[in-house]
Amino acid sequence: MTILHLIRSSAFSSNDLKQCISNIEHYDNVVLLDDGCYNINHPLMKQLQDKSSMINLYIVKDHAQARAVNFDDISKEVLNSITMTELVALTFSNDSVVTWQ
Amino acid sequence: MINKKQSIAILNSTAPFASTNGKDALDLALIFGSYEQNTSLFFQGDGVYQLVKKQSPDKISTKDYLKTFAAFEFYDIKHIYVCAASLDQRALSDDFHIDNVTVLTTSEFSKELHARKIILRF
Amino acid sequence: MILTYLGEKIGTDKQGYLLDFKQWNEELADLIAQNDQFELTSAHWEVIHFVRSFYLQYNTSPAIRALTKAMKAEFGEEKASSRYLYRLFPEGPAKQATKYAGLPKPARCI
Repeated sequence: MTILHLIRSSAFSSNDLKQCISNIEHYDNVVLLDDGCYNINHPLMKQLQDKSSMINLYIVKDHAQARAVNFDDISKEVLNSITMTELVALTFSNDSVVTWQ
Repeated sequence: MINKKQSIAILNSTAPFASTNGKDALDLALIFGSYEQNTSLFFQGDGVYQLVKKQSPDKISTKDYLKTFAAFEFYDIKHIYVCAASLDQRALSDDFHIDNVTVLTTSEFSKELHARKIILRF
Repeated sequence: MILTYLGEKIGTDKQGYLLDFKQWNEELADLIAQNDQFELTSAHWEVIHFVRSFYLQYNTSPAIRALTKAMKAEFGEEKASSRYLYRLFPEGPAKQATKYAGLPKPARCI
């Protein structure tokens, strides 16, 4: 049973990312979108990156660029940028979806 | 055994009175229960404050929806899980205002959540 | 809608449910039932009192399934069927019994 985790809020103002991280299992998919893109520069990001061998981590490109959030420094093996269309496809390939916001 | 096909998790992450999240989650749980859906409740983060004993919402003119938790057995809601780490972080004990609550470690909690087909977070 | 009871005006909603459940007593329940041309027998009273105590304990009006389950725990199998309850309250036990028990109409009305 895989979960698609949608992170839509900034960990600088909420606890949502922290709670999400405690509920991540092997093969889960995690997407940063909307204000969730700001988490790229949050200390909790390290915990997510540490899990990158067991999960897939994505960021919605347009949402990041709209906020001038730069993720070029992060290797593509750790973080993949996706379109909204690809996000929709992810909702079908996981068993359930949780929105953390 | 959990029937994965239809099992529903309601994940409570907010404290009881400042928002309607907790009340909304309860209403949904009771509706699912009335339709015999396999529903479990999960409490994590500030959601654990909903289980604290001796709260007095009448002092702030708020309806005491927490009293309804004691009726879960009549709605076939048998599984209630709480995250131990969330209790520890808030200096709360496992002495709740309802019985039959299961306290789980963070990783057990995550695994139970993953065993549900539908997860609704409040 | 306004009911007059002992010279006092008692507020109800459009369908005749009391606005303030604390104003309830058995005579008032009879009055509400009379307005519906509905006769309350001892079997009805048993359910009415049960629904009211459920509300006072749990702060919610029970929907039909919860009502039958809770009644089973209290009175045993025979009175805990929805058939028995629908015979007593043909318009729907949860809906009708809560009305005569002075409670808000259950939001989850099944």
